[in-house]
Amino acid sequence: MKRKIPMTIMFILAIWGGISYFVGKTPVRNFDNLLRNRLLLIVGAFAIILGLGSLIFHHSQKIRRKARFWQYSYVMLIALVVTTFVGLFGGVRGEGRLPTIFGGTMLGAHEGKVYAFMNRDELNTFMSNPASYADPDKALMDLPREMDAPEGEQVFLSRYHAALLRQEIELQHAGYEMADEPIPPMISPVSGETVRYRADFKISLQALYEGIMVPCGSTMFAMLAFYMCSAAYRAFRMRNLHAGILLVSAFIVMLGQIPLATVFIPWLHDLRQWILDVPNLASKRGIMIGVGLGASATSFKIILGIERAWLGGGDE
Amino acid sequence: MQEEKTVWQKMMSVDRRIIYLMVAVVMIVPIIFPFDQPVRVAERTTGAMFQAIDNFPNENGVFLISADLNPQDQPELYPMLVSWIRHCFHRDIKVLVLCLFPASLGLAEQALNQVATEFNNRAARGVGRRVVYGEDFVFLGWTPPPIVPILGLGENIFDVFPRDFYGDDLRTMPIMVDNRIRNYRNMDMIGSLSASSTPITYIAFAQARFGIRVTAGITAVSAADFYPYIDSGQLTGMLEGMKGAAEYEQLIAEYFPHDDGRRMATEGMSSQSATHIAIIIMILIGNFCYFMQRRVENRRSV
Repeated sequence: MKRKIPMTIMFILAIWGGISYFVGKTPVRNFDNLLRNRLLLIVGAFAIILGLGSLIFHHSQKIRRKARFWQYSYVMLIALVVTTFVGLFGGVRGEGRLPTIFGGTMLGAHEGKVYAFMNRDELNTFMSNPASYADPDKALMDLPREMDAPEGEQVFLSRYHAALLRQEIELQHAGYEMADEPIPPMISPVSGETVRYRADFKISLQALYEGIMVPCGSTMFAMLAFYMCSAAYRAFRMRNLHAGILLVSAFIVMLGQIPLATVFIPWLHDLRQWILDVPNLASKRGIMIGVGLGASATSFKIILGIERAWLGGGDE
Repeated sequence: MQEEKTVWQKMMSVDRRIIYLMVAVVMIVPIIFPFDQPVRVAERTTGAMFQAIDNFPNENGVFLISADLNPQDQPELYPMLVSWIRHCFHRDIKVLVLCLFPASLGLAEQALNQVATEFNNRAARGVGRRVVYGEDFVFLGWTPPPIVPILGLGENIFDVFPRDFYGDDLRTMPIMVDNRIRNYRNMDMIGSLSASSTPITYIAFAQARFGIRVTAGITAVSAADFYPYIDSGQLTGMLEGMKGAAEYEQLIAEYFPHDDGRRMATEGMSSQSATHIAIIIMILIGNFCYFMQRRVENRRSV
């Protein structure tokens, strides 16, 4: 029974997938859309929960058993908790419920105008009695539509809104070079001092992404170049004819990637293109046809219940 | 007594840290002191794509970009994304950007913001036109699993993305209303930017079923896999790695001389070219030492 139910569901849905692909009638398409846009999304959401559960269980077990490199499992679990917490309460760009703003230009809105302040205290002073401080001549700009802040409420400048604001200000101050100076001087209506734009920093998913994931991912991949060079120097040997052909082809394709080389050897570009267009294309087609036939055969075996490895182990 | 190593053996087993140091120098120096290289555009790949986008109808042209790039692909794929957006903005083509994987969201948003700021800064100086979020471009965000947006966009975009990345209602946005964008039939082409086989998934599901044209931006290492699709006409051109991106930047510079945006791929080509040459020289030296050592061993055995 444990196997028959999933196999029956899989058989019905697989046949349905084929029918919906080739039959263009509206009721068929509507039902297919319902399955795909609703059911598949729900299944996908549950798959994420299942995956998270499995990940947490695996690393907890590793820590409990003090398995090899168990310390790294702590890094994984802490990162998981922090990212989830920030994502749930800090929002994608730090506009969630979590008070996560550690910098940024302090802005306040009153009667459709935006004012800039030196610090949070100034902002609070303004907010306590905006009518006495609000001077339209000292307003930075009209409240952008995208900010959509209710009257009298404070506006924090997110990275996205900062970009919008900068565009607005840039247009108002035609000829101003943004690249050199991020923003023109802004006068605080409270102290009358000049406020300058500061880069904002927030604990948000975007901040985690830009601050951790981008540099880590780039570093990991950049290290490949070093390993590749070392490996190529030590192991790429012309031991026989086949290795020789591979070596020469690799040289031509690599040199063809260098614009300067194609200037000194004009036919190199065409030769590289010929290698990619003719021998490469022929071999790739052969491989693709073989893979396609193999995938079709395996799919049929799964649909018909001959291949059951996807069900995993366990009792009938 | 142990036989002393020959000079060839010593060279073949050189400390890997020396190789790493050499590679680092070869990579870093051209980044600090870049050298200009004339870029020759590959007509079947880069040229074909540029012409296809350039020939969209100016008023109602819509380009859907599936930006599936990760931080590790950034040097090759990010300049492609920036170039595509620049080209579309220059030609007044509407841009929809989506991601199939969450890891791509940050870079996709960064590229949109960068190019939008670039254009608006120029507009402030009286050069070119201004672009507005929600009118000229929209960031759709991410919906899992990938097959849902790929097939769902063929039927009704609002079922898959009822709101944009920032949570605003997509149905009411001017870009969607004015251009009557509802599904693939209202779009001119899909540009799939990925280091994996995602463009092939778009060909298999979006193009085969809904007939929309597909183009691709891919890493150089996976370019060979996509040539069958260029040959069959299923891919309308493609950009191959950093060189493809540099070619596209070259075309934008030729067609839109007032575009003063940073040409990241062209800058990176100096470092990439130097590293390629270094790898080739190292392989040649390694093989030379290998043959010399074999010669020494043959003489000894005789």
